[in-house]
Amino acid sequence: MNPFEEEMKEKIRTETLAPKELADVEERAMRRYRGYRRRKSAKGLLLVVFMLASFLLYTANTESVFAKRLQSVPVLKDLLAVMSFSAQDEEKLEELGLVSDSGTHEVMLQYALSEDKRMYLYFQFPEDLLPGELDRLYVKMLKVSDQKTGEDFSMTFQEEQFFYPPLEKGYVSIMGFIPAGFDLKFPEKLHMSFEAKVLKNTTLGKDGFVAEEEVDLGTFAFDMDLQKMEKRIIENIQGHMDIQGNTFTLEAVERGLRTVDITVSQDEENEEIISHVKGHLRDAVTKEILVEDFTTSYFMTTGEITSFYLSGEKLPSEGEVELVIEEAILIPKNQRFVEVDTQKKQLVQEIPNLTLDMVSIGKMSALSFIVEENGTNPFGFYYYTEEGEEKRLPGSSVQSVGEGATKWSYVFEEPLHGIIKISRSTYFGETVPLKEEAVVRFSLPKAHSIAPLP
Amino acid sequence: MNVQWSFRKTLSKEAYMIFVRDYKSTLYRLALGYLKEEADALEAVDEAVYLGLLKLHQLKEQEKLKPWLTSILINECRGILRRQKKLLVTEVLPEVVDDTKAVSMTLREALGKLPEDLQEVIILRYFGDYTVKDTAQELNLPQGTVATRTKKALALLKEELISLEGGMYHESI
Repeated sequence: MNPFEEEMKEKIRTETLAPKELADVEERAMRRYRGYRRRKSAKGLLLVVFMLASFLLYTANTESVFAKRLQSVPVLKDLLAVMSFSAQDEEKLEELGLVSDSGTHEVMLQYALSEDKRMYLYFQFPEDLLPGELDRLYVKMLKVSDQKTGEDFSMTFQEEQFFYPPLEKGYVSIMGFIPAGFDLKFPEKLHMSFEAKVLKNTTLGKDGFVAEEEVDLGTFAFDMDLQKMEKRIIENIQGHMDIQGNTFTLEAVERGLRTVDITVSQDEENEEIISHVKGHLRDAVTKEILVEDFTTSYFMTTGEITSFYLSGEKLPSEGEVELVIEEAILIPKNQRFVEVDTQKKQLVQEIPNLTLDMVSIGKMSALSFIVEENGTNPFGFYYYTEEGEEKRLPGSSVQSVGEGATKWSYVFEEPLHGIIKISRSTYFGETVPLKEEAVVRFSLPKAHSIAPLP
Repeated sequence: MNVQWSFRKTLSKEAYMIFVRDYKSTLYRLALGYLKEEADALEAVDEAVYLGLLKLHQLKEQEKLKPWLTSILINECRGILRRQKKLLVTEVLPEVVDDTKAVSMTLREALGKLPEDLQEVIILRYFGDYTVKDTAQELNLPQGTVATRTKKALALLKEELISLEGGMYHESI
């Protein structure tokens, strides 16, 4: 490469700073994708809904018992037109029809799909709430609790949520979940309150949406009685595996409304954290592969995987299966954080494939790192200050630097000092193919309903 | 390159999103090379990532995810450029110099003065980190042609930069 070519390449690298909005590109794509899936499946469902509605109309003329249910049909049709459900899910939808009036606006909690560890609540807001493309509905959860005992369940719902236009038929789905493996269950009588606002003409700022105007819709409260709540089926497995000298135990299989989770544990004596496992699920008898990959569902904050879920069209409703682990990502326990001594300008602990490139301390501080494996993001989402305060890691700027290496730069809006700890990406570890596949056989409990995850 | 999807037959949405997270800066740089404006580049990346997600099932060889997604982005950039050309300018706003803009105006200006076929080679090679082989494949050209165009484009770019920066650039190399 001639000097001019090299200089120009460097100029492009150093001067192309990604805008902050680039940080959310995956989130925006996923949101649009979900909307597309909903609309696509709604088209197919409309015919079914029409037939169902016709049937109810016909029977309503002959049997008075249907008269009350008939009133709900248009609402169900509205919901099915904008949200996708499997046939089994549809059967388990519970009609609630609760109304909350804030004094200026009404919000209805029309339907719920619930099990004791996961619930989907379908609220209906005024349909014309978000006329502008850049308007957002903001919902802030205030309280979720057991009506009987007062036990707090707020942590099981996302505290703040934003909904994008169009709010088709005014419907908004809010999901709550208790992680697989946790000894906690949703009560049937649940209280929920939240405040809602319309953010007009928003732009994306440093800390999220910035609105030209906020319209307060008020506070809404619901006391629900979820009589169709399913019980999650949990079967113990207790299958032990050895992964590169680390003990990995499949604790149990949890079959819920829409998920099949495998909960796992890792021996405290293990020298490495197992952050991801790769493999497949196969029929124990025919050896036919039923699930080709697993998706991690939950981690400990330290990076250990605690559960992963199985999904796919071939996932059977019950039967004997074998779970096969073929490879795993391992991170030594003493390297679970990337620790930077900002005074000495060096890493406290050496990390393979990662070097500290630059430390700049001032009102604003900057750190950059060189990663040998091209394209692999070395960091998670948080950093911890010298005082132990957890903060969100700023957006990164990435540049290619020579063969197979990338430079990851971060600008912090504070004067960093002492030792800061940056959480490490659970993917930035050693991928170890197992010399021999680790296999555990178990019975898959019979499903309430099967619906591949979207 | 991450290996987590290397043994899968079809790429999962999660793996795709991890790839996007790791590769989006290059995608953005590439889009910026084509479109010159930050907002347009961001729009193109947004659209390409979404279209990639929508068409993920069509990707038969997951090793080709990078060129596949890059091609989607390039098509998107070309589409935006086509739409921009069709726009009738009704009002000319005064130009505001924004120091925070990504690639320097001088480089953008110089790049904009190159013929389109040469611009594209420079964008792919230097904004998108493409090799000669990959550039040839993307543009459906022989590798020799890509090498010749690169050489020619660099020479012209150098001249443009010298004239725009008053000779300082020339002295610095």
